[in-house]
Amino acid sequence: MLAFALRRIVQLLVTAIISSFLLFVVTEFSPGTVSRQILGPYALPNQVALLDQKLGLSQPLPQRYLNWLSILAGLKANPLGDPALGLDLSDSRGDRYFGNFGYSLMFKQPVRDVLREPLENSALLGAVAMVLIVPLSLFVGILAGANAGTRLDRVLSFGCLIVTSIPEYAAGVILLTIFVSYFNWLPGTSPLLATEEWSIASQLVLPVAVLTLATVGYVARIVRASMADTMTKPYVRTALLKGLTKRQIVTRHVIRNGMIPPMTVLLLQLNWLIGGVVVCESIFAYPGVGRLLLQAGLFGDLALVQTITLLSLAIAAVTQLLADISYVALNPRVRLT
Amino acid sequence: MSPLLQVENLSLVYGGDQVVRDLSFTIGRGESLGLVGESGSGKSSVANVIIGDLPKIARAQGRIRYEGIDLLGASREQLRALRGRRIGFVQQDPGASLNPTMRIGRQLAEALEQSDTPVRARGERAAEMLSRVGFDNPGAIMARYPHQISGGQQQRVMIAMALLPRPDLILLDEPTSGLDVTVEAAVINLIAELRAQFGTSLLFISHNLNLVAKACDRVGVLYAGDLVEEAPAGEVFQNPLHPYTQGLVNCLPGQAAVLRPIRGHVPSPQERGPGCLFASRCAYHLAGSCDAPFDMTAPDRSHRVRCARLGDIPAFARQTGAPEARGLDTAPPAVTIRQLRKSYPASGGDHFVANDGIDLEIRQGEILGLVGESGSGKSTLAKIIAGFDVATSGTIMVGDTDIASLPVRRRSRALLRQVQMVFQNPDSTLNPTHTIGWALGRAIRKLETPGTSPKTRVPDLLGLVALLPGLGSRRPKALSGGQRQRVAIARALAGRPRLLLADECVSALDVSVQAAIIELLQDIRARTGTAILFISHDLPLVRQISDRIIVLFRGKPMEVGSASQVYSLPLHPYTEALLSTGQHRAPELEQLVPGTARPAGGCPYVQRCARVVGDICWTQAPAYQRAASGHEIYCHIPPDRLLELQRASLPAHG
Repeated sequence: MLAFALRRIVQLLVTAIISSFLLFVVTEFSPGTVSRQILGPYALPNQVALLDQKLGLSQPLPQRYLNWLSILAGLKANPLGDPALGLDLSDSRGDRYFGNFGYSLMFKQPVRDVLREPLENSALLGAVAMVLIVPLSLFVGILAGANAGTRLDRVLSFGCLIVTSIPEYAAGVILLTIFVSYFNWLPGTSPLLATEEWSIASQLVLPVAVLTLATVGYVARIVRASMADTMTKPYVRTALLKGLTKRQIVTRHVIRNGMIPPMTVLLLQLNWLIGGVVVCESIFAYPGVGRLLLQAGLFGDLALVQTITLLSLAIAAVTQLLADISYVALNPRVRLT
Repeated sequence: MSPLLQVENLSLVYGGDQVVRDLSFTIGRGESLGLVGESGSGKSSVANVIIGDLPKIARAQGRIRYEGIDLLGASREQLRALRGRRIGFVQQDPGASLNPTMRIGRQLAEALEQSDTPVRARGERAAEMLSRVGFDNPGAIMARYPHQISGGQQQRVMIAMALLPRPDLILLDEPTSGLDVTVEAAVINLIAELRAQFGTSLLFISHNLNLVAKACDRVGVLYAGDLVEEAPAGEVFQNPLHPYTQGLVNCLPGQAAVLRPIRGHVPSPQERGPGCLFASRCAYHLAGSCDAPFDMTAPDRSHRVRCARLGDIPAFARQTGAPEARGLDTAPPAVTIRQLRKSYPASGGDHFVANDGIDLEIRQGEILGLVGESGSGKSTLAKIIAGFDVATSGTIMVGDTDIASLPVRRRSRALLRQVQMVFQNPDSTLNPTHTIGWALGRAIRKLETPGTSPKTRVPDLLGLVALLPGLGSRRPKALSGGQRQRVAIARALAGRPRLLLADECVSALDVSVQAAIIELLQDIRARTGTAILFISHDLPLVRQISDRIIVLFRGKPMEVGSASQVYSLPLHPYTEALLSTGQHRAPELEQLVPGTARPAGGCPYVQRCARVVGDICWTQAPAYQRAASGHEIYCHIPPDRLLELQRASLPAHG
């Protein structure tokens, strides 16, 4: 088990390095350079070239990638922070530290400072949504799958199908119309600033509801399919022929086996919830990472886009590692291989 | 005293299809009844209706009484109370019937949950039952997961599980399908032993008449949902009265010199009329009397037959004698295999040796039978010859070409033509979207020498495998299993191959169809002169078809000889054990997952061998010894001495 986990962690590191390089290449090839952005559209080409030189942007691609990694690891100072450039960028942590993601040109601040709060907000949103999604989708999926083919199953499956097919933005607008415009029970935006009228908790309700709706149907359907498939297995029949009750059969023999395939899907949802709920955050003006990513992309804030994407990659890799480990824990057949 | 289980006029309908018709039988206390039938005979449905687990579309009529309880009218709770506690059930495929994520001990303890056994005593009871079904170390087995024990052990665990609550009746639905011959024999013996110990009644359901007759007092023969004959086990072989039973016995390998298949096919539920369902295949069919409904008749107290013309059916005459084998010692080799070795990397830098130094000649026009249990490397050998895998070392000469390390992609067309293969399952080897004619036509274009037109060759090929030319325009779905396998054989024959590889090519088919395919293969060999490597785990079947036989164990040929030499005078201890599996408990079951441990340098069979002579068996690889012309064994003990030993131990087997 330990050897397995270690091997997976090494694989994870390799994945991280390769994907970070790809990410770097893609963002570096996007139109416009950092120098052009700093100097503005009216700067002369030789001025741009001069700044490129100072920032090390005229070096070949692998060299630039290495520079970027060195800055990230705290081995090198970020040339943008050089007071001689007069860009007025400074970092309270000094110019060399581990995890230096550079400066956000949009906010004229280190990326770490820009990201801290949105990241916390997104984590809060994702965590609350996950707390609802996991039990709800498992409950619906297991209930439908254990009674596959019955009316209960058909009602639940149909409900899941409808919920899944409503896109996030539509669900957002529908909920806004009902609960904000019509009933005025909930706030229309969620800037996470407590006011007299709306508490922070009340501001979370609608974004969480949209995320839950978008995910539960999908996950529940996958859980249902896996459960229904497990119900037809000969060992479930063995349990029936032993004289166990339906409840005993489902809780002891079906759930553990039926949860093996949906586990990966469930953890992928976690990844999506933290890293990329752009639509939902934009609708509710929720100050999270998704909305920040959208702003950074529109502005062309390379360092910020790179950092957020890198974080999503890291989260994806870690959740997949968790999925693999939980798969091994659930399935004794793959142990020690 | 009333019988334990009484089934009266049971009819079972799935949707609009009649699955079981007017079935009546009884099982007394301590009695065992076997139900045999081919696929579609409704035998499994009978077990399912007794235990009350039927698909939703099923409708049952009639009466099933178990100790006075009406099972068809019982509530769900009543049925649940009976299951496990009073009526045990052993399913087929033990590997799939055990929960893969639960330890065996816990699964066994669950069987006692409905009983009065206190929780603390359950583990002990389970361990005790495990030792009674032949485990030396119940504690260790109970701590394992199902995938950590072998198939035979899994089935013994299932039997222990069914026996634990001490039920009065156990239903066994194909309990040995998917198990090796030696393991199968051990499981059957175990069942018989336990029945004597516990006095449990049995309903044993199988497609295998031999097994059922061995394990049961009485045998019922099902055909298309009709019980056509019920008789004491011995009577079924000695004096079968129904034409179908007679035909079935004639199809069984090992019963007669020549297999006589039953022509035609089992009527589908839509084709079934009110009269005798076997009429369409029966030689004694008489339009008037057979087509109307009629009852079973009882020629004597213990024998019942459902046949309208019972008086006119001649007594069963068995053709005794050994199958005829052709001596082809002088024929030139079609394929010559020298020092063939195949090993796969295993965990821990180890190697799993699938084929180990095989020397073999397949002569032109001979049928060479290759027998061995699963994991013995017989399919690996076929795969390497066919080019789906490559050998680690050694040569396979076809003409002047070595094909041992030539994968099928790199073989020339002429080479492909020479070696062709027929696969086990015809359902999955024919593309369902193309017609039979298209599939054969493509094989002809790919394999046939230029100049022949598929138009004329397709009917030729269909004729060669005894199919009507009209079938060429049909799709595989419209064909029966036997017809599909004939098409698969025709495809392989398109290039007039020098060698035909038949890997378990009849094991997915029913006995009557199987006999017809065997007959066809022999006929094709006679007409086209192609050599056939016939691979199977079914010993009587291999005996029936082969001229020469090679017995493989862990990748090494243990004994090679003509069919009569190997079967009437088995010398190697392994062959002896294989052939005598019916008589005594095979000791090899006690060992754990097979194929893992392997003595370094010694004889591969040493761990299971009953005739080990000393350290030499463990440390030194034996050499091949010649017992007679063309008869060789891989053993340290001289052939004469082996014969003496066999004679000496004979009375012990009783």
